[in-house]
Amino acid sequence: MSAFLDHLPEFWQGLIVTLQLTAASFAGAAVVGLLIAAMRVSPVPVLRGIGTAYVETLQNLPLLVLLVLAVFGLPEIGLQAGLQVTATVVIALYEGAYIAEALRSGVNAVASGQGEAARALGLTFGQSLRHVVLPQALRTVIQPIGNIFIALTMNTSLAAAVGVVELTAAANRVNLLEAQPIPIFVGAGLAYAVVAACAGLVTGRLERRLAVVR
Amino acid sequence: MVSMRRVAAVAAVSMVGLSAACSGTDSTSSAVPGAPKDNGVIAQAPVASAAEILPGSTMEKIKQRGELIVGGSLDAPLLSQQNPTTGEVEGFDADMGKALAKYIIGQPKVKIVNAASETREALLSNGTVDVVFQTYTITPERAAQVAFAGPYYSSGLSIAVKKGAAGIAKPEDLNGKTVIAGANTPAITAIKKLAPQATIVTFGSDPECVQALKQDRGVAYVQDETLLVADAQKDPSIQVVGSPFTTDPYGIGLKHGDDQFKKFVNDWLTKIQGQGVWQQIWKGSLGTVVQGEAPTPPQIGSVPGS
Amino acid sequence: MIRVQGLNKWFGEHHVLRDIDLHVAQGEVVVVIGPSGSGKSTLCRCLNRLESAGSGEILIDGVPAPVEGRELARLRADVGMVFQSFNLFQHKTVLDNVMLAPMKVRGLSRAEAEKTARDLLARVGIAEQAGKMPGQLSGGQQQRAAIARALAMRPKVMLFDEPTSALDPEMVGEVLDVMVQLAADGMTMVVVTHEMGFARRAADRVVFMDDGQIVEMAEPNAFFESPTTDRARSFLAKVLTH
Repeated sequence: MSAFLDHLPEFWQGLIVTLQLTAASFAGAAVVGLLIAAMRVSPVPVLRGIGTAYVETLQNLPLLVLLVLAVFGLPEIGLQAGLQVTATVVIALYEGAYIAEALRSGVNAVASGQGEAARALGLTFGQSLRHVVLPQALRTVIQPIGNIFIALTMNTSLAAAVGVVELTAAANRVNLLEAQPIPIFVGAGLAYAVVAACAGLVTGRLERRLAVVR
Repeated sequence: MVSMRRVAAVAAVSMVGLSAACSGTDSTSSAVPGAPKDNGVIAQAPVASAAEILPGSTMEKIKQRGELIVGGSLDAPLLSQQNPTTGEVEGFDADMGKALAKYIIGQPKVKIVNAASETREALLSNGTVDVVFQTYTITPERAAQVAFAGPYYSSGLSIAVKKGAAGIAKPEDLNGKTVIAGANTPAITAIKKLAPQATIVTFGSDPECVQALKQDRGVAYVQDETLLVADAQKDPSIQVVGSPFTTDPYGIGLKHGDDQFKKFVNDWLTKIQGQGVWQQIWKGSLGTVVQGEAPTPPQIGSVPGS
Repeated sequence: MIRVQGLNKWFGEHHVLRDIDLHVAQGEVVVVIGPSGSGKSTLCRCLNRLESAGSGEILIDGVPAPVEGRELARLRADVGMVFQSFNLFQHKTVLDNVMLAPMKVRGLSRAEAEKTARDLLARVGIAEQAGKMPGQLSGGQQQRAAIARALAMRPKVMLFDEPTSALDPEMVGEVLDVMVQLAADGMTMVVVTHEMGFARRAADRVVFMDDGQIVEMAEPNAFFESPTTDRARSFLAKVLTH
């Protein structure tokens, strides 16, 4: 275990980058997911088409392909940002597709009468989505979105492949020096597990607090 | 407007990067049989006498199995790279593996298990692979986990920059700058030691690192000299500066404590070096991009850990 | 107040509304009855365009009902609707249910909206339930809250789509009482229902629909005492003998 403990500062730094990647890209994914989900359930066919195309495209490409394309391809057309920024944006766009699908399933789970009642009162489509449908949809999808959060946390490790020194990359570097993969990667794995466990805890609490009496 | 050539180049680099990155995460699943092709230099390689295959030894086990299982790479140019058209794994490390297989079994029958630097020690200690040929630098830390035969080759790290870049001639010049290195390569530790103020960014494969250098993700790229020379030859927009600033002795990774097998492999190394087979293997791989005759092989057992 | 001319609607091949002409005057209470599948609910939902019309014209207060967008939302704000299944917003308290639309659509302040809401909840007899969630209320209480929610928008017309059909029998009365009171106060109402008693008590006019058509239209006494068509006679025979 000393191979792990001797390098705590490196792991700590890597964990901080992992947490930054996770938090920023989850926030971005939430916004993207909300927009795309709204498009997918909107009454305007063009918006629905764009939403569907987005989800289908992003869900059918491996995240690693997107990361490599963004990091090495975009500079070729004059778009270059820092590695961590690029990785954050790509992960946000990618996970946004999954959040959109979770939200859409939540919207579908809300009884159609809820949206009808809102519209019958004179709320616009956007208002009925925002004040009536989505708040109820969110309650039903806390668990799936919690799972997406955990998957996103794990997916941030792919950023290591495009030069971001997060937890996995930090573990790789320490292992290069110490050649003790088992304690080093068990240590890194535990750190991921702690993040995932926290997410699970928060999800459970939110779910109990926001439960709707039906 | 982006030219098609450029797009194609990006796509090609991306794909190379992907295959490298994928193989990096997926350490043991892809096993590619080395085709038992007995031609060229391998044809001249020696075969051990029956007396040398001691009863109950690791070499006897391999001989009975009829196949040498090597932990290695499939994406390291000039060293161990799978030829996409023939399926054959080619390069210096790959040919060394074939020569060792022929020595033990009589035929160059090799199965390469794709290894990564984070899995090599485990693959050896749990017996998944018999040997590791993968630019495996001998260090005292690693020698506590595995046994090393050799060194069988000595290389060094060099610095590449974009053509015309000024101000970088030696490792110390990298202080305060962003430096590109291959993920899991000895370059990372070397840069940390010689230029502690440098920021290191790593990418999974050599083509990605070259691309990153060209896109100014860093001012310099530190990598094994042989690879850099090959890169600079393919791509005139980068250049190698100065001469190698480290000495990396590559060893053949073996199971820790198997002294009998280690001695056997070291004897084989001495033999093929004496017969000129080692030099032929070098000429057919690394020698194709480096000028001049084959270097003198390093002294076996000459480094701490070997 | 409402004028419908030549309204036709199809669900795929199924012709659910055929050449509907209907005029509802200011302050009039029109009760629409008929067998299930006769198209009466669809007609009600067409009036505020929760269902799109196939062809024909719908005028509300002299203005053609817009087909979509913000104008349609504005129209709906003036047309209250009460559903069979209440459709209270499950995640909001009863009070918030009533306050939401006046605040978001009419732009009322929270204080104004709350005052109106509490008044209306008192008027429908559930003032003390204001802080509860819909799921904690009985069906009758929920439907009264839904009526208060619609009234909070100060609509010109109220549409009732089978408001008592989902209620346990003992709760039907409390909802009908509210509706009778509303009619007495002069609200223009279109009520789709199976409650013949309500039709007799509160309707100015009864519209009998069958197979997507308006078959008969008359004052309640005339309709119930001497229906002129066979279809109406046979329908009344079925519902009134039980």
